[in-house]
Amino acid sequence: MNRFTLWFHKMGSPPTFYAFAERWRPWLLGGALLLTTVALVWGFGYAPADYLQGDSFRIMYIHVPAAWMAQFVFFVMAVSGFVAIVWRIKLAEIMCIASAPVGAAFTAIALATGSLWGRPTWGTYWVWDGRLTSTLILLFLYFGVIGLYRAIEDRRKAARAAGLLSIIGMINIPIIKYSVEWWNTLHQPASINVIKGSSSIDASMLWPLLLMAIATKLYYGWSALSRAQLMVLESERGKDWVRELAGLPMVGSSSRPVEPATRSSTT
Amino acid sequence: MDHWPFIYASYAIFFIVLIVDAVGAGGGRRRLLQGLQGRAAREQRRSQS
Repeated sequence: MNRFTLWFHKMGSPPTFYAFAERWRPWLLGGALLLTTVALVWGFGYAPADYLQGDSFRIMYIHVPAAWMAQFVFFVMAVSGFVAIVWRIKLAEIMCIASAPVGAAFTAIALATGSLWGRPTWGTYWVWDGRLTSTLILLFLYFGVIGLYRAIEDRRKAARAAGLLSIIGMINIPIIKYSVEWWNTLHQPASINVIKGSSSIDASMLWPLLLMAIATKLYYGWSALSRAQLMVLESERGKDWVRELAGLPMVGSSSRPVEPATRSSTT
Repeated sequence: MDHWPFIYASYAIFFIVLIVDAVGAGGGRRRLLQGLQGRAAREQRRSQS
């Protein structure tokens, strides 16, 4: 068993996962806040205005990372859902559900900021073109996953049903990605090609965008781990380690005070 | 057209949505632990009376 597989199996234990999340959460949130500050000071203070769009291009520093995260989080949910359905790993179910609210938040941000960017740039807040419509469908898919999970009483069945919907919903991700190439849309094609490592954005404007992209990923890590911790606590609320965490007396056999009769019989 | 109102509105939406998400993500655990402590205290009072 290699180190990654061993680590993966260890994470299957709720107390180990909880401790792991507890250790990483402050670093993730701190990193996200630090990078956001640096990126926005850079983006607003030092990056020049665009020769065509003027200052409105600065909306890109939140719109583009939010749109990337909207798709990335759904991909993570689909992978977690697949792992949850195939291998019945409880923490994969939890990560799938814990990711949904923050993914929906990023999708809503992408739609709202895109709309606010569209008004001064395109002259309209909204058009029913391929990119915008498929992103709106993604938001509905997030709502669907959250709603389906809440509608089913059995938590584990609910999580697997939500995971299945995430897998089915994955069909929308390539549609969003390639909508600007497949159809004649008002939304412009991608300015950054991750596979080729090329970009049509000048470096003075690009770096704050990349920093914001990292910051949003760190924030996602913090938000999803925080919700996952909460779900782990809820599902394990009767266990000794949770009672110990809440500062309560433990009831498990391993930590129960030894009875006098038992003590006398062993000595 | 002045672009700055659109820029300010965009950043306001970004931070408000993420703060609401952060409160939902970070605040729930504290409430759950407090709930567990409250329930244990009620159980203890009931067993003593």
